[in-house]
Amino acid sequence: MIAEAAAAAPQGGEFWRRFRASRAGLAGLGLVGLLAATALAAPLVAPHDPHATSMTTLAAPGAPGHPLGTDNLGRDIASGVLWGSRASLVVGVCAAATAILLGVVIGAVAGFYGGWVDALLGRVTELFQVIPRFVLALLVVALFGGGLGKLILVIGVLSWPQAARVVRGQFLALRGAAYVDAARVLGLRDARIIFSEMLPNVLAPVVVIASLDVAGAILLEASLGFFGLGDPNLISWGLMLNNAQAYLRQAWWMSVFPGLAISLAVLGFNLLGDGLNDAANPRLDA
Amino acid sequence: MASGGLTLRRYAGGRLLQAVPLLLGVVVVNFLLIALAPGDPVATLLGEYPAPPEYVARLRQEFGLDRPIPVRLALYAWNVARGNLGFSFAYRLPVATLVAERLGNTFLLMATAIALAALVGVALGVAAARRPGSLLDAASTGVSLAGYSIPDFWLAQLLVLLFAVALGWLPAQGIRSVREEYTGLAAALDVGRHLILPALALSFRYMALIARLTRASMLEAMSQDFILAARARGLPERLVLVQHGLRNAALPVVTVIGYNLAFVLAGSALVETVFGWPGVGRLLYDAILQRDTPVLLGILLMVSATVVAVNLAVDLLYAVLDPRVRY
Amino acid sequence: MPEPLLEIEDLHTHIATPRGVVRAVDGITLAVPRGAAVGLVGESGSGKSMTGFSVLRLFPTARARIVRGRIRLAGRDLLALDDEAMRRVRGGEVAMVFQDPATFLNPVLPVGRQVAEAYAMRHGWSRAREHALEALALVGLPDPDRLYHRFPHELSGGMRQRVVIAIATVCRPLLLIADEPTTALDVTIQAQILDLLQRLRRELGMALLLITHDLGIVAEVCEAVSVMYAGRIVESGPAETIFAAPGHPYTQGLLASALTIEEARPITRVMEGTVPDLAALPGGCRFHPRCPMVMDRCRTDDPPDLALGPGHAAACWLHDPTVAAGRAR
Repeated sequence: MIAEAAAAAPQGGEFWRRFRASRAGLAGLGLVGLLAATALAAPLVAPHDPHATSMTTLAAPGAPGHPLGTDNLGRDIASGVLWGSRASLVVGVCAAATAILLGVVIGAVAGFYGGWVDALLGRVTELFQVIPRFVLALLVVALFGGGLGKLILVIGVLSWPQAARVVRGQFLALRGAAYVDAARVLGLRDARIIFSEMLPNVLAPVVVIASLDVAGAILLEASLGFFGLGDPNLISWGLMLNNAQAYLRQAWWMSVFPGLAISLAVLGFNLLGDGLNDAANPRLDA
Repeated sequence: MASGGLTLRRYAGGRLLQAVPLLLGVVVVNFLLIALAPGDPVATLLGEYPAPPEYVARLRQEFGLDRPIPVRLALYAWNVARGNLGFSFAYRLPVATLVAERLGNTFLLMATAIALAALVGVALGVAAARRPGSLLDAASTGVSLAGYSIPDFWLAQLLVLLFAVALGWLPAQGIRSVREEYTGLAAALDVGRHLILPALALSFRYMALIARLTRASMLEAMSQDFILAARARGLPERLVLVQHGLRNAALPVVTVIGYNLAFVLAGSALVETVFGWPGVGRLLYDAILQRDTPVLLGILLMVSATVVAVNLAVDLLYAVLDPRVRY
Repeated sequence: MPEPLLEIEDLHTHIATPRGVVRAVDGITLAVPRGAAVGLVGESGSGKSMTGFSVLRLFPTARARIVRGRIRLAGRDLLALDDEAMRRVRGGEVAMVFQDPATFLNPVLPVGRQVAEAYAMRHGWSRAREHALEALALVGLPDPDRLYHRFPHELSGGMRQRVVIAIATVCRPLLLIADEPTTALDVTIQAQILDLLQRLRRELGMALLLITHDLGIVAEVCEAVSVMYAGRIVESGPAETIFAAPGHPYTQGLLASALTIEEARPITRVMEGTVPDLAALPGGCRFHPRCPMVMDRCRTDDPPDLALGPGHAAACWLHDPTVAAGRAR
């Protein structure tokens, strides 16, 4: 009986069929795939070492050996763009994973127990929504330093409200469901109930949030980079744009290409999230 | 049955009370950042500037740096309540003064951007909802998606590249022309000219969000029975759209507009940096460069407080617009 | 005989669906005399609501179209009017109220304002409030001055329906089309609303087209009844006659399985089967799969309207003189 009730969640096959029908989802998947491929292939495909400075400074795109030009220190823009995908992808995915993990746990606890637990967690969530993520991240990185690990942690920890809210909502609704009562009657421990019975049902919306979280994380990382914060050993698109700021009049390519890369990466995950949403919540035709 | 006015006041009072613990929470977070940061809290409070020993001693006393943590928290909260947000040695001014000076400029930028985003966004959303599936609808969705994905600071740079560098129509930096001294109307126009690009850059993301939401909300509202009923009464289409459709569709849009303010604030920091706009955001950037920690902390505090205030205002606005909420 | 207020002639309204064209209204003819109350009865899916919408030329879905027929209101051909002229007819000469008052009203505007708006559209805002208050009083709502500022969610179901009727009648329409006006209400409130409709008819000289599945309320209010099934009218005539001696097996079935408001008769027979899929109608008489008196002819030939008495007709082979003669043998 419990297994049957859990099966009320959208079936796997149906889900993928609807996803395949969503143009947004497919486009997003394509962009994300491109990003992943770039990140993997960067060391092989990049024409130069992105850190390497040279004498050909501020060369326009099309200069020999520098298809997208060079910056003020002679670093190849194309290589920078290609290598930058690694930081974005790693930070994006890991930070989102952290956010989801935190969000799901907090949301599940809040939704499952309700009452004062929910109220307390609700206030904490509200607090984190009031403080602008960016400013807080800025402060934390400025005070505590900004290595890759810390960056992921900070972004992840600051992004949990979205997932928590969705999971909490679902749990509050499911709390009264028959199969939860049945599980209780059978004497299953709370944690067991949460994990094996209720969580599978929130999988679909969480996956959607996950995709959107990655988009947000990439954007946040780029913003931090634009402010000059972040791991100095990493090639970051945001940092490249920071660099470009002083040379806007002379070298438009320093801004256009990294910025385009960020936009496409974020767009990809946003579209993917949309597609997953279409698959998870099919809109009934009026 | 209680009359609408009294309940609204009570509702407002309730929300106000709820805002207080939030503000306290922000203070606590700020405090934790100072307390947990590696190194001497004095260094954190001072930034990386040499300070006269008398000042350091006074700082220790004011913030109770030798006392246990709960006392320090209380002292910090007390200081904040008095308006003492620390002192910036980079600027040689109290933090509170620094921020207050620039707040006006930031508000000008943000207000313009929000107004622009709301007007254009709602118009786009309504237009798209009127003809779902049309070219306009698809274009509007495309613009929304792009706006949501393009980083505002990159858009700012693109706008500078296009309008300032390539075309030379609009200024790329600052709030006023440095070469001329304008007065009166000319001065206002000058500021206006400088305002266009930053406001545009800042508004785009927001505009995208609003357009998307308005469209969804309008589609939802227009499918309700009372719309059909309004048409059955022979009401002209424009009235049906605005008085009956938009009035209902606006509710979730207003909420989201308000609750996304934190993002606009963050965006303004980035956009101000690109355009050299002398606001709180620019101050934030400079403070990071200069490692001016008290300014950073002060900005965090004030910015969060602003968000709390705006959320409160949005809640009240929502209660005014939707009578069902007050009960 | 004076010209009827509303004349519907051979109306066909089709809805385009992914599965094919649904002939929601498949050739019906109906008349409503001035000041009279006519009932249009049928189960859900019979096309009765679509008939009402067709008169207003306003549909809940963009996929519906009137493809053939004539609708005349006080001699004017409604189907020939342009959009702007038709808009003026709605709420002016013809008004419609729907089933659920909760969803009929705009939740964010005060109810008085909504009544006033209906008046102001036609006559300007200067005296709209007075007329709105008058209308609220006319429908029997207490303390219209205070009620004016209330919102729909503050009112009970019965009060909301009164407001809906006030909105519909504030401009003194010639015809009120009421689509299931009492279905969403408690039984006791139903009676009150029906009384209200009767009173308004008398005081305003208004005609009423009552669309419903509930035979009980039709018996109370209407002088003439048309019974609809699967897009067609299967029987029509004076209410008394139809209730006393229904000619069509479907009507008989409806009566037998209904309870009236006053006399609670036990359900003596339940009709088997369901309304046919309007995109895939059975051949011959549409009702034949469910008909307890089905004959061979019913499966192949669609019966025309056959007269049973003055003003009373039913579309059933049972009343064909040859068949009747045959059965009598």
